[in-house]
Amino acid sequence: MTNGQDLGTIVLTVASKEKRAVSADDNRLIAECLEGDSAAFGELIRRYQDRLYNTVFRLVDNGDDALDVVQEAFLNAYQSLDSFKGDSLFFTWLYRIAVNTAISLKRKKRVLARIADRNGDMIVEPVDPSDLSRPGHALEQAEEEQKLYRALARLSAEHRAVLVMKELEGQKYEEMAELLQVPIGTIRSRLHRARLELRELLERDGE
Amino acid sequence: MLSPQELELLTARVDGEMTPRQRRRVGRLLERSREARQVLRQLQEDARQIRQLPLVPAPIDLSDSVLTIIKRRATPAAPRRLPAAPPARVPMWVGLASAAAVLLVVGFGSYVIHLDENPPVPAGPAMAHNKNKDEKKAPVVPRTTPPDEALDEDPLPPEKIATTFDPPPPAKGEPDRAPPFKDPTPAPNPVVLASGGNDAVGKFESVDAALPTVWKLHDLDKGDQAARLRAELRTSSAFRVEVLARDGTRSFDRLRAALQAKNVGLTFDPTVAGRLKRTLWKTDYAVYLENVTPADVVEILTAAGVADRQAADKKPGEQRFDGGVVVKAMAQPDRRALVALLGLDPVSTRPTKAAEKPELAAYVTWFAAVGPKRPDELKRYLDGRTAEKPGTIQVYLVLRHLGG
Repeated sequence: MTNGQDLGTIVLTVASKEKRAVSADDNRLIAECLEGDSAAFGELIRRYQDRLYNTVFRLVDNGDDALDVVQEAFLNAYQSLDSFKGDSLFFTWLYRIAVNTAISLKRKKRVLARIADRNGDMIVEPVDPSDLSRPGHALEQAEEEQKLYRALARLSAEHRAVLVMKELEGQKYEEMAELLQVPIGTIRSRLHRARLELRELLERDGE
Repeated sequence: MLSPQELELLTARVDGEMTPRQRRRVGRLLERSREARQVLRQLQEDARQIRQLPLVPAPIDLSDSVLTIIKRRATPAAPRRLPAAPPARVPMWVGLASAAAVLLVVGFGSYVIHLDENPPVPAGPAMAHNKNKDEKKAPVVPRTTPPDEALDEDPLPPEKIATTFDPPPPAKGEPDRAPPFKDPTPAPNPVVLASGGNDAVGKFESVDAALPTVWKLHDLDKGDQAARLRAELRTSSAFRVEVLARDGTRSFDRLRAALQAKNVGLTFDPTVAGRLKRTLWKTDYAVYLENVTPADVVEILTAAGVADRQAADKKPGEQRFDGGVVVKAMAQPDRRALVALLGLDPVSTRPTKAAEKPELAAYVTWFAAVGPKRPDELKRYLDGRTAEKPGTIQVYLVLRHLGG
């Protein structure tokens, strides 16, 4: 009979073996792509697009933007494939590109939302948080989920990013710090503020 | 009321990353403070709700669109670093003489190949001859394609490539290379290689190729431009028409007005509606329509161009089109693009069902809306297609966002 400790070790061993297997296969596809086989890159896209889209979708306001960001992330990854050193998982590297692209987009949209054209009309329509509450035609949203979406939409790009990375991707402070290229202390304080801000927004929405 | 430090401890507890000292402090805090326990429960519940958000997979398969864009940009992945070439072991003059001989052989070989190529294709006004003016047939692969589509062009089959080049044997001490390539094609008649006064060389033949023609959108209502464009659009049965725009989305409004003025019913890919609201996003739109006469197409383009010109005359910032329209007989790469956009090649799959009443219909999509998942709108459009009408053409219209 195995005790909890052994089971944990077994799970970790299996998980890390799977991780190594995926990593080796990714590296094989990357090598083929660098040899000129673009179909190999297509395989990498199909492998990670759903997971990447899911994360990015939670970072931006709607499906169209999420598609743009994910597509742009894959294109940027392809462009700089020769700079991928293999010292991290391919998905981690890709994820970093996508998250940074999403954060840049969110920042840009906040700025653009304030820009008026010469006639004083808004060039870009203000973001409608309800876009986020119906992310897909087929998804049915419970009221609680709707509230959560609305609250997440109101967080800043940086706060939303750390919450999504922590809770959806299960990342540690150190991983997030590396991905976002900020100190660990910054991650810690961003998460702290993000959680409190989210709580406050949810409480206000409940009133 | 919890202090900022206590709140930090609680959020760190939710994060699951605490030092042993922090764990002890949180334990003591939770023991003594009911408020701390309540706040922690709420923060943990918020985190749990985020974790339980449903997985939202990508709505389309991005691999096709990304690979299409990569090909279009013709930016290959960085090439692998090749090992440095070994030092030359033969005198340079031998290498130069060999290279010159190869060029001569390959040049004549290419000429010989062209003599038994496909029948000529309808040509634009840039070409001297248009042998098949009166014959309306399915578009054939043109001899030349614009540079940005060169990557898509089907390569010549191996049996068409004539070469007699054999690499020199490895120099002494060098590792053995792969055996030299043995071309199964018979070597060209050595008589052909003779220069001057040799009748066996044969006559030169003209080659018709569908080159693109460029038109000024804003001037289509002037002089005989419209008539010339109509004539151009009668030279084949399917065309790619690329309209260059400073802003793809804002110029689409003009195009839409022109299409609707001709009673063209528009069916939109569901994601296009979202793109049309985002005027600052770079979007290239694709409009496919068929059973439309050359005159209709010219009227649509002219109307869009005139509207744009008149708006720009009143206020320069209102010019939305860049001004250029590139017209080209549809080629294989265009048909492959349509397969990606529509899920089928509309040129080779014409329905036989006759139209009950004359109706024009177009499908509007954009270039990232590709993938195996066909929206209902596309299915409806394809189910509504009718048989080919005489005197009409198929048009793959691309509204290309240039920016600026």
